[in-house]
Amino acid sequence: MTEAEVMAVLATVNDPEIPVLSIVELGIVEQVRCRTDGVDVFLLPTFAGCPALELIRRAVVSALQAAGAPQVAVTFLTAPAWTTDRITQQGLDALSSFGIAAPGDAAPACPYCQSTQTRRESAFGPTLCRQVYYCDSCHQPFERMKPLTMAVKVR
Amino acid sequence: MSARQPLDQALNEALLAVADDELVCGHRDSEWCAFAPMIEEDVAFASIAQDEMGHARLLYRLLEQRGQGSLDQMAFSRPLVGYKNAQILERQNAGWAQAIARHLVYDLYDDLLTGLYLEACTVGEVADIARLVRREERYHLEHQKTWIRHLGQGGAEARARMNGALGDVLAESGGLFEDLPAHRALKEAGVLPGLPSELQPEFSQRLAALCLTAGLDRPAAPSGGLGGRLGRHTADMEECLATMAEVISEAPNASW
Repeated sequence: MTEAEVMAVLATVNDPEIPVLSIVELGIVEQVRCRTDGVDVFLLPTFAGCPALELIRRAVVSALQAAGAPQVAVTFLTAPAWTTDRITQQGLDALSSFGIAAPGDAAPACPYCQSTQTRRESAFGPTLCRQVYYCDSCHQPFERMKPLTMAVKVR
Repeated sequence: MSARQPLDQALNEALLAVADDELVCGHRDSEWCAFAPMIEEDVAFASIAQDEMGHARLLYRLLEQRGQGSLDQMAFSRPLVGYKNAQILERQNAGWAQAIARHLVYDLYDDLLTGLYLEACTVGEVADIARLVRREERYHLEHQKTWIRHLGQGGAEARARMNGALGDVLAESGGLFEDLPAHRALKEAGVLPGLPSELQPEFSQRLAALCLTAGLDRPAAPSGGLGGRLGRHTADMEECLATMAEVISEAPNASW
């Protein structure tokens, strides 16, 4: 398989917790390396405690094996750090269609009515990567992808 | 190679203490799920617990790569004296004021430890993990800061309970700042820039500033609760370990 073929297969592997989003759109595929007898895939974990990582590993292995790669090795790297800036525009659109607003600093637009009269109810949501918001315009609670960027220096 | 071996061992010891703090703190957090004062806090503490477990997992995984045993064995199957967490983190949950006070103390300490020391570690893998950990921890710190302001300004009853809980927690938090010979060796060799005890003045300054804005009493310096880093624990740790290791003791070959 070529690297482009591998990437095409990975684009069909979706995040188990946000099934409209592929792991390529999520931005966690850091590198693929094709060997004569198989494929090495290097992924970046999102949140350290994400329970979906093992599921993603298995999904990547089975998708690539089904596509004809005899041996697949998946490695999670601790650097570079994944950040929410790595989600592609297509990925952000998919999130929005799923009812999850894009990460960012400003108040997000409500995915239901597009109003920006929204506020954060809690920094913690049903998964590690989601936060709970409320729309003051259509009175609908919704979720936003929790912004994850590098922390500033202590001093 | 041989000159590095004692230092490698010292770093393993220091990292194990950090990992065990995260694991035990995460376990106590998880026990709030379904018992917190409101459903948002069930979710928040469950989420924070999952983060802390994730941080512990990153560190145990690194220790595994450094030849220190398997991840699950390190997390769940060591004898009591093998755990190096600070005693304050193993204490049983004792009310919401204690939960907020303890978490605030831990998060302030952890932000300084990861930000000033571990991110500056000359061993690249450690610095990488510290960066992943601290950016998640700042959500925890922000959460506890919000709570401490609410409770400090929530009337006489809430303020009294918060003052009491902070006093009790601080009187058992000296163990977070306890130096091991390993820490001194790492500082001397330049692997880490400082000792845990040297974080205490800045910790106290930050905590005092927070208490001032929350209308709480000026906090005492952390003291007491020593010995966790040497494997000495309270009876609460036995209960904690038995609960955490329940599944692996019942079914050692189960996979999850």
